[in-house]
Amino acid sequence: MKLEREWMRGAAPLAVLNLLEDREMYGYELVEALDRESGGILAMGHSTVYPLLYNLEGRGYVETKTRTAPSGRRRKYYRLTKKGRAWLKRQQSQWETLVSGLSRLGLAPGAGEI
Amino acid sequence: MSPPAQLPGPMEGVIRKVVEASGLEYPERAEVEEDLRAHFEDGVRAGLGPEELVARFGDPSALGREMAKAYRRKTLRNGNSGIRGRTGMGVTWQDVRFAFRQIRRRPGFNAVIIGTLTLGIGGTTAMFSVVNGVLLKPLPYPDPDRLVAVGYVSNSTGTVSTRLSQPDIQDLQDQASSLRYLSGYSSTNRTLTGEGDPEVIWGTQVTQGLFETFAVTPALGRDIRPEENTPDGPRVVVISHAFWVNRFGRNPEVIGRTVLLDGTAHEIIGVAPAGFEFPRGAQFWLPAYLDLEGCGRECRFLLAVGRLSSDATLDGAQTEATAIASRLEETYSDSNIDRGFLVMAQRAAEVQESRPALLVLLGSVLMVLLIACANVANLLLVRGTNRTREIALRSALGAGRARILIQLVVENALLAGLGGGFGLLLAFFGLGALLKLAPSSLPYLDRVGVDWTVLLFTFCTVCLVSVLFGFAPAWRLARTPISGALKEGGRARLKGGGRDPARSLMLIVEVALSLMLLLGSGLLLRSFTRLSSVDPGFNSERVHRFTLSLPEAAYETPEEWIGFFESLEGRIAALPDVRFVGGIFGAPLSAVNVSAGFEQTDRPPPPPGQELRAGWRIVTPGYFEAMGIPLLQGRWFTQQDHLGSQRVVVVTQRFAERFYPGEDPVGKPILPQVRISLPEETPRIIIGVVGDARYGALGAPPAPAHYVPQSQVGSNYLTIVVKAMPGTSPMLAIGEIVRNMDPDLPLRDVEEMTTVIDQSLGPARFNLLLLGIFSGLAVVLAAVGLYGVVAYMFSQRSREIAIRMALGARGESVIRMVLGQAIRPALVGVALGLAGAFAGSRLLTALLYGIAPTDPASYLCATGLLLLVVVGAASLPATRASRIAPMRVLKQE
Repeated sequence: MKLEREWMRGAAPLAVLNLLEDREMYGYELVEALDRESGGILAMGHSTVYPLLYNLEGRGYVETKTRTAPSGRRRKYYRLTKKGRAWLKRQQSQWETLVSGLSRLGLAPGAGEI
Repeated sequence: MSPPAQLPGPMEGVIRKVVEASGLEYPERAEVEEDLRAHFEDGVRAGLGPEELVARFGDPSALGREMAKAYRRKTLRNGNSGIRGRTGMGVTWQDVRFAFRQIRRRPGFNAVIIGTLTLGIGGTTAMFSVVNGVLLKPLPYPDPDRLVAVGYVSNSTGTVSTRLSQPDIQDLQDQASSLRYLSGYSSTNRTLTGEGDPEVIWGTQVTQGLFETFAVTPALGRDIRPEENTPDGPRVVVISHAFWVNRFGRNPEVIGRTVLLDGTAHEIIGVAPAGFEFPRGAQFWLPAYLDLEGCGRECRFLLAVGRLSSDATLDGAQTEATAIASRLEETYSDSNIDRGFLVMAQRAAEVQESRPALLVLLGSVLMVLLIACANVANLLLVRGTNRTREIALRSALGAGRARILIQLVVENALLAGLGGGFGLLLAFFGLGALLKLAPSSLPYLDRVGVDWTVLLFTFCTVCLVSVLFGFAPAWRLARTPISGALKEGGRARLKGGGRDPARSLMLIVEVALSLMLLLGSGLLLRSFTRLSSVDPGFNSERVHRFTLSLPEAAYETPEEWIGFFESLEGRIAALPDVRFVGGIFGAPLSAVNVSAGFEQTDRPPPPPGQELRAGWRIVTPGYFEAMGIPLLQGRWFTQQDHLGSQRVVVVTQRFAERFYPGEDPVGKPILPQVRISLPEETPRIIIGVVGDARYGALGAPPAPAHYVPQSQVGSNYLTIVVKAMPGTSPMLAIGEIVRNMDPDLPLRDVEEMTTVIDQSLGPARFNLLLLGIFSGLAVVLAAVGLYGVVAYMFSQRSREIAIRMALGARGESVIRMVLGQAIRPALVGVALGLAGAFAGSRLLTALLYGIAPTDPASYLCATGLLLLVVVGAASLPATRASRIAPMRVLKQE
């Protein structure tokens, strides 16, 4: 099942930053990883990811570095900044609070189950 | 920039739609394109087909709009810009980074540019630092603009003299409401004893209210009071802050203690505030002990400094002072005939001798900077032709003209900034060397340094410079037509077979300015040669000199003074290393240069206002021989001319010619009007005529002068001149003799006469050296620029030259053609330079000695030299042009 647009708008930045927390990635790699690692739930149109990345870069949450990818091509890699990491942490706790509230209302499983 | 790989059509279409919808400009547009291209390449590598990739991609137009929004947000946060129209004129950090990359890509080329700018900006900054310290920085006193200096000005000749009489100062202060304070002062020195080795210290005798005039209060104690300023007044002294710190370790109990100055105990009544040193280097201030009865309006030895009232202006004070001078002239017609007052700003009065030279030097270094800018502009124009393809590609990728212009301006600003930074370093370190070379007569050198004003000046210079050298090349590049540049494989052809008005203009500017500088230094060189070969009227070879001042406390009477110096000279003459010895009050090229009035008692007195006046010096019999001043007529002084014998005087040739034209002056009586310690003067008989000598300055013609013998006048202050035997140095032995005669008597101003002459040439040498460096730099830069222009012309016309040569043109005709093209603008530059130099020549008048600023020989030499350099610089590439192998060039083309 795919998420509705409004839900995606809130979740996508978080998902992207979460992925970049482990390692730096280039655009296409990120699109693929989102699709694969969210089990298709957070798969987004390829065109959506670039404005999102530019926005995150503009806000200073990610930074870019151009280097050679394993394919031998020059690629622009995105990686999490310190500021982005702090923001991600804050957002994670917000989500946890939300999920815990929803679970108390019986709308979501326990926080530990997600 | 490697050309991007072509993607299958649908994907290219998506990319195009995205960037079009985004409205982004270069370089953001290129960034988006690159990202999307990479994205599709990765998709293809992952095994997806073009259709599937396009389908998964989503709506390109929506993405384009989202991209624009994303960039706009980024802009708002980071000051970035990339959107057409709204933010097209902004400068981004990316521009700066890109500019850095561009500079790194051509290190050699950019090093030449930065080096050229460093020399120009560094030289300008260093010179401005000197001008700032000496001419611009406010004087270190409260409200310094209200300080004025007062002197006399002759209404008939305009001659200015700075020494005033105390009664005139007093009248001016009493009557001029525009002057709040006015005080007289005169530099002096004293021997400090009782504090270790005797030491000569500099100080000032003041009338009253010097501290009030400068609006400063003593750090301790008080100022000198008017009642202390009488001949019998108490011996009191105010000491400088530095003196208090060094000699008394900041002891607050110093007030009331005494110091021995010239053997007399002086009570310390005050300590000046820290930093107050007026005049420069003053270590103490004494009352002037004014003897108004003995030394009235004729006794003009005081400089005057005053402070304007709060509502007065300099012009107002001048008007008032002129009116007062007229009244004084009426009242005191015997002394004040033709004596107007001149009121000047104190700063202007102090620097009036240095100002013309400093301004000429600053102007010269600015010319060097302009030449450097023209050179850099030329280099950038050359590089421009090699960058047309890159710029065209950027245009093709969507970069607007403004965008490209901004990028180029940022590059230029970066170059100028780097040149400015290095220039500042150069100035910082070069300033030390400059100050070492500077003549000691240049005031306020201690205030010269790199401060905020200098930094601001350098910043403004950098901004101006980046516009001067960068705008024309940047403007031209930004206007490069895309299709033409791409088609021509990156080498834009210029119309007119390499003739390029912008480059010619730069060349004209360089040649004109170089010629002006070369002319200036040529004139200074000729002037310096004349000045240093001036015959001073005496022979300075092997002449040593030193000064002794006998303290009145230990040596009370003129007879004692005469006896001391006779004995001293006798002992010195007995040394085997000494050929002649003599003494003088008012030695050549020293601070003491006295003139005195006299009467010719054998003829009627001249009408009022035309009193006779001439240089007046006291000498001992050996002086003329020691200095090699020739006797032209009559005899020298001898030991037989003493107090009990007929009063005698020796005059100079000019004195004889001026006051006894067509007559034999020997045997004629004159009565010098000098009030000195010995009994009233009686008429003196002229016993001899000696050669003229230059006493004031080497550049000033010798003035008429008369000499009186020490044995009939008595001075406690004499400069002893010693002519040594060849290859000897008797000064150590002489020091010993003086110590044996009086251990408390220090030798002052111990120097060789040749050094004194050398030092007097200091300002002229400083000007010559700096202008010489500037003009040398200018000519080298102009030569490099010219070489560049000709090499460029050749590269632009190599095909044409090859065809000509293939058709049978000879090497010489090719050389003539290329040379002709380079030399034409150079000749225009020469003409403009000559005109400019002629127009500005009067600025140099004050710095020249013995030649006119329009000296034809200098003009000829400088023009000839520059033309040689022009032809030389143009010949190298022209000769190369004549040796090209036509077929190779044509094949390459």
